[in-house]
Amino acid sequence: MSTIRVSGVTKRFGSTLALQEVDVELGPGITGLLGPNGAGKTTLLRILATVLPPDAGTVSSFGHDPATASGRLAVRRQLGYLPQEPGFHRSFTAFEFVDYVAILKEWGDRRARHDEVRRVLALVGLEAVMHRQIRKLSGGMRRRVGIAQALLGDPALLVLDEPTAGLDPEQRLRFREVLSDVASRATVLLSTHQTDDVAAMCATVSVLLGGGVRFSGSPAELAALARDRVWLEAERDPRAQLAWITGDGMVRHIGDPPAGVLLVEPTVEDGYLTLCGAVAEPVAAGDGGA
Amino acid sequence: MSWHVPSDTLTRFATQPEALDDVTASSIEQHLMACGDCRSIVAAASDSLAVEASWSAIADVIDAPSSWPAERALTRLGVPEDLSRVVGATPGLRLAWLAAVVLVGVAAVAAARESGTETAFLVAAPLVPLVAVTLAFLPVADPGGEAAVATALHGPGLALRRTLAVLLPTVVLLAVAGLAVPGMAGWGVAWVLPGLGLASASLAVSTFVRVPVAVCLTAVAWFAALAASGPGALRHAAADAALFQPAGQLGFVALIAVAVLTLVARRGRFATMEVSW
Repeated sequence: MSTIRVSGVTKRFGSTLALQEVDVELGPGITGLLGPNGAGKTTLLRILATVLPPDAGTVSSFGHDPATASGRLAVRRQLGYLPQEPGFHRSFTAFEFVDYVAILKEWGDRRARHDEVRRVLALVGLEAVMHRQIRKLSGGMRRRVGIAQALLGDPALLVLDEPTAGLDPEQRLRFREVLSDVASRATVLLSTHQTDDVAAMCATVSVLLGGGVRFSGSPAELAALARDRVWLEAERDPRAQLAWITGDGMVRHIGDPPAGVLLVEPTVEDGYLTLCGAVAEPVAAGDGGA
Repeated sequence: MSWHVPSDTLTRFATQPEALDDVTASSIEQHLMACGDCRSIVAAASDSLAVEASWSAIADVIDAPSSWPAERALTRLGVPEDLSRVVGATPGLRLAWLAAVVLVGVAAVAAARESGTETAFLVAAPLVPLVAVTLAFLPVADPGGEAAVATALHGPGLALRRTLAVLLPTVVLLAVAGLAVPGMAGWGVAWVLPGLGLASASLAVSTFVRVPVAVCLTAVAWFAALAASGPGALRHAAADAALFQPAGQLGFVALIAVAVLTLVARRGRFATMEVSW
């Protein structure tokens, strides 16, 4: 069941075509959005978050059209959004920032609002530093302040632009725990460069390349794009599309394997790298098998 | 702990503290500091919802964000607390900005006194609302950053409230400064319509081009119009320029009307990040 439909969305900035006739459907649960820098991920997220309108195409969020004022308001009332760069006010404390956003999200009653602010700050583990100025917090803590404001009001649609950037491994695991709970009752779109986050959390994944969606399917289907194309050798093979030395000293290769090499099970990252290096045409889910 | 408070007294302490005299209540409080058993009886007897509400109220006071001067002023004027916070957050209401307005006013007054005419003030004053309103309208100037743009309250309604909140002190401060300009008695409000005209025109233009471009275009148009409206208008005879005569003032009314219509037609652009630096 789709709750969000993006049809033929195009967005241009001057002479740069950021998105070209993008079609995406999202349902309940977490959808990962992968793509290299400049692929159009942030632009797509901004459009879904009603921060930017598309030049062409339509967006439907829970049946509302954000192109209209009433539709935009209806979407925003169900939305939590973490931008790539939240742009914190330098003198705000973590509490004041989240409280300020809560006011803009129509939390008028002060006591209920403050209770909600404390709840979301506790969810991201910031209750001990919530009265510290944001400029004095570490990068990871600032990221968590951004995540906290996005969680205000338990939104039905959560749009997160690189939420795990700057988080340490423990914080990432805690974030996964929080997000998996939220996703049980919400539609979540998660843009990231972390393929292991996608593998760990996402039911579906889309890959954006050059302003267009080049893959949509499950993480397993994305990984399957690299099936029979990943192998290990003791030495680097120059014929490989990509090769790197792993922790155990072996060289992991992606590409067309020579005969007799040790093929290994591909990961989501392998599938993603295969797609980035090889795709010229859209790849449908399930096409990536051997 | 070798002794305990009778349980019926503890129950009254938890449920009807007003029924105990001050000395008894203080003694029990002191005892509870050191006695876990008695604290347990008090906790069991307490209304958990009332305790929760009490803690919530205490935390609410402790966590209350510090307020800006503009926010406090708006609250005193009867504006609801939440609205005061988001309106008062605009950079156009910060003390730094208001101090800048005063400085511009003082400089213009000093220049006018030095030259013996009101020209410097009449030329400079209309530019101040232009910059003030621009600050109030900027999505990027919102302390909530991009996250704030995706919220229900963000949009033309909030921007309009911020604009009015910025315009009022700016106009009042400049009007007070204008009283000190020689020969301003008859021209005390002559700069107001040009000021509002430039501000609204700049906002309307910023729905087509980036904000700095819109501000620069409007400022250049203002100087060009002054130069074209009368000999020496920019140097010593602004009051004689056509722009400050009744016909010119009517022209600014028309400019404001056109700008407002444009803003109404394109108000949706203030709900997103389309109006930006």
